[in-house]
Amino acid sequence: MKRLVIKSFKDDLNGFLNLVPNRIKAINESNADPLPKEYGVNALALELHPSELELTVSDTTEITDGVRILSLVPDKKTVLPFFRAGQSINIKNESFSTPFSILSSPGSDKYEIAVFSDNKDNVSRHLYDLQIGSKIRTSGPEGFFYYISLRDKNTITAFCDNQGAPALISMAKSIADKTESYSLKIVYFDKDSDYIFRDILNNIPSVSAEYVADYSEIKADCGKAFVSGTESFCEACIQRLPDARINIVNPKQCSGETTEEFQCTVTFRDKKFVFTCKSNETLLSAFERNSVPSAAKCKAGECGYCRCKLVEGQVETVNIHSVDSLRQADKKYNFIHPCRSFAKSDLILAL
Amino acid sequence: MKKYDTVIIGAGNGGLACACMLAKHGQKVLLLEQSHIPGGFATSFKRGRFEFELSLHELCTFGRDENHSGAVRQLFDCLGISDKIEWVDIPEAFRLITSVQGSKFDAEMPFGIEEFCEKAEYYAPGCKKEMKRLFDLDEEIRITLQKLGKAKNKAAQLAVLLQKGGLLHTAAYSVDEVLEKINMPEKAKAIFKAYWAYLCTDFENLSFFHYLSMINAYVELKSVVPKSRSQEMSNCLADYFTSHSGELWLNSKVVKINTENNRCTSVVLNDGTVIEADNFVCNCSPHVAYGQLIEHEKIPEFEIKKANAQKFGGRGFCVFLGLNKSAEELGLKNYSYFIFPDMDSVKQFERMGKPETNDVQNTVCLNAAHPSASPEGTCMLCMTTLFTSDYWSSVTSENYFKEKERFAEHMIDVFEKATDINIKDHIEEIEIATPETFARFTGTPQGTIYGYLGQKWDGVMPRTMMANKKDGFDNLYFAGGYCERMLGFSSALASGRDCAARICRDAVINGRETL
Ligand SMILES: Cc1cc2nc3c(=O)[nH]c(=O)nc-3n(C[C@H](O)[C@H](O)[C@H](O)COP(=O)(O)OP(=O)(O)OC[C@H]3O[C@@H](n4cnc5c(N)ncnc54)[C@H](O)[C@@H]3O)c2cc1C
Ligand code: FES
Repeated sequence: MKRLVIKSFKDDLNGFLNLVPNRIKAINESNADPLPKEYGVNALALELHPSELELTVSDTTEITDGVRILSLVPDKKTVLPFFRAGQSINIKNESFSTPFSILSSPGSDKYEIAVFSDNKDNVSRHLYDLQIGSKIRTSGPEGFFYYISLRDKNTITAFCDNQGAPALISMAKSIADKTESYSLKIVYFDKDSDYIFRDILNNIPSVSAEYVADYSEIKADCGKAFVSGTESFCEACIQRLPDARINIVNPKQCSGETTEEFQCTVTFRDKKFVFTCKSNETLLSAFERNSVPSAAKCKAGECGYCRCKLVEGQVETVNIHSVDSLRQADKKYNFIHPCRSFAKSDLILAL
Repeated sequence: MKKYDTVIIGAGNGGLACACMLAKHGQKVLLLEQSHIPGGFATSFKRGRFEFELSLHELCTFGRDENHSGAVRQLFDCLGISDKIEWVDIPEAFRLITSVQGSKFDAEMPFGIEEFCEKAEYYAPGCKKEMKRLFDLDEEIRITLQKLGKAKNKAAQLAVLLQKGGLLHTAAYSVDEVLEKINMPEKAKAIFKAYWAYLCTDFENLSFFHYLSMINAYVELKSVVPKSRSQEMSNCLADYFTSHSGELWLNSKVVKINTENNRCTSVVLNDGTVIEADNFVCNCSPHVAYGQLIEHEKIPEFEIKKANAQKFGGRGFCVFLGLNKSAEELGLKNYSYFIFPDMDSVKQFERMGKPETNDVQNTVCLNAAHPSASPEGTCMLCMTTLFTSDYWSSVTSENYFKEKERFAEHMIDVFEKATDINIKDHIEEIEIATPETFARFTGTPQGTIYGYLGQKWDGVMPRTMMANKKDGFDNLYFAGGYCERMLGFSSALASGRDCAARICRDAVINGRETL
């Protein structure tokens, strides 16, 4: 092959020999100022998704017996992260955590959440009796249940029960205050016809809501429906609207009677946790009871943050969504989502 | 005795490869990862019924078979894991849609040097010989490099260098400087330049040698992807590591590296845990290590100056689409679409600084290689571009969602226009990753996904030639896409392997260990 000479033999050779000296020269000519501690993009990412927020209860209102709306505000230095109407925050208490839909509008300067005294989880019980001025720890806004103009039709039909209503209230408010522009038709289901959030909904301009008490009314006329509610409500809706977008509120962490107890060993870093778990509780709730650290967020098998490895033993996974949220590669390597898994034998797990 | 020989910060490709090689060598290694999952960019995520690959379009240097294997297969063979991963062959090299001399140019290129040159001849008659010459040049350079590695002294090295001139003559030049000397029609040059966006350095700056070796790796060896997305590789490496007595700690962010007398002594985790070791490896960028983890005053000046002199490479922006029609039904015949308004890389690099002018994209339809990657009657598209400025740091939190959706729509428009395929009416799932997203998940500064930019003075060649020099802390090493081999899966993996070799070599030199 003929030699390919770029400039001249001498120039090319010198160029080669000077590669390193030139680099050293360029480096030496640069400055020795401290490197940045912060970057604009990373700072915005942290503002949108803070690892943890400390919020203060600024107001609590009992809207009906057993349901309170809590208003949560940040301290003066912190900006409340912007969110998409429909998203949740995960509220922590000791080693327990529970996701709550935000019911205020993204334009508002506070997060409002609804707390049900009937929900017997540790966090709801803790929140229900909180006084104004109390401080709580929460995650930033999380979850994928929100309107996306590139994906969704201009008109959305959304179904909820009482517990699922807050997410839709936020969506309705975001339309009323022009943060979002689409039209939303809400079908509110309550078999007892209490419709706890009816007054709040009726006060939001330009939202159309229909109040139903029978599952036969659950049907969508166009596009993919949005469904927000308890596990049993979502299950009932999926049967009628198989491809709906689902927001499971307060996913059940316990089902039926305890039939068996198993020994569960969890390794995290160089620590080992050994405890008993019941066959009718999710592994995640056993983790929480035993202060096993977990990065869990949604508790509904969606976010993937609770991912851990099943080293030994059998579990049963119960997904509410028809689709399994576990990655293919995670399945291949025996990972599970403890928030949707129940023990079927003694277990060894690695976080 | 310290509990660990080596502590590695970050379980991306570089950290994982380094961890596996050290564990294989019998070291006691602790791999720390801030995220809840190992892999760094090498991961996937699910939305609805789709599982999207986050980053990997194609893996080069694995090779099409045992007889045509590259660095990645050699690494995986050495760990005995090549066959544990299910691989999918990428069907063709690329489809290029651009304009050449003012008119639309649309070319579909195959793998294999012979086939590639043949097809180039079809699009640009008269180019075959010169195109082939470029690939031959790569082979010549590779042989020269191998011989250089074996040469015993300076004189022997010079002899090798002079023997065949390929390396000597081209090493100092950019792609444009060399291509000027190659007599090829513009269309042929466009074909040769198509992999441009994979390195995202304009051709006045990008080292010819680097680009040539990359394009050759793709065309000659062909590329593959793991069937269960790149998380399959990450899980497989992590599994190898932990089953060879390695400790992998997830959700464990390093917030500080303590130093003493030009040596690192320990790392501190976010919960205050302090861990001592003999050696430390950063799979994060030097900007993070020196800017956020180590006290400025303790850092050797040359290292600070080096980081200050370097520039960040492309900041990532991706649109992931789950479509409710099959690839066939939609007419998505190709796997990889390179879409450029024209082939002027200097101009496009500049235009990629702003959303209004960034019209460059590389779009992948995984189903074209792996039809059952998503449920029947559906397919997935992943559109990727890079930003060459810090534009995304000027966005406010209130505008962020609108801005990202606006630009995502623009990318879809560009794709629809280039291919004449309707996408918008078929979107079942969409996810948009911005520089903020990448910054959030790996902590990479400004959402950079392409390591340090290959500036003219800072190309792969001089970086590699200096890689064995110890300018920084005696026992601190770097591995991954910010290192001398630059960005990319294969580079990051190879860099992890190199890093492990350096640690073992230094351990021998320091008398702590025998080989
Ligand atoms: C969208 C996209 C498309 C791409 N396409 C391709 C392609 O087709 N082909 C190709 O070859 N390459 C591609 N790349 C590039 C390739 O993914 C990267 O170059 C490579 O994976 C980088 O590996 P890395 O070893 O540098 O680690 P990274 O993936 O950057 O991982 C670094 C790890 O370190 C962790 N870490 C950082 N700081 C800390 C800390 N303080 N404590 C603990 N852990 C920490 C991070 O969480 C992360 O897991 C693409 C990248 C992206 C994002
Ligand atoms: S907590 Fe979200 S998947 Fe388990």
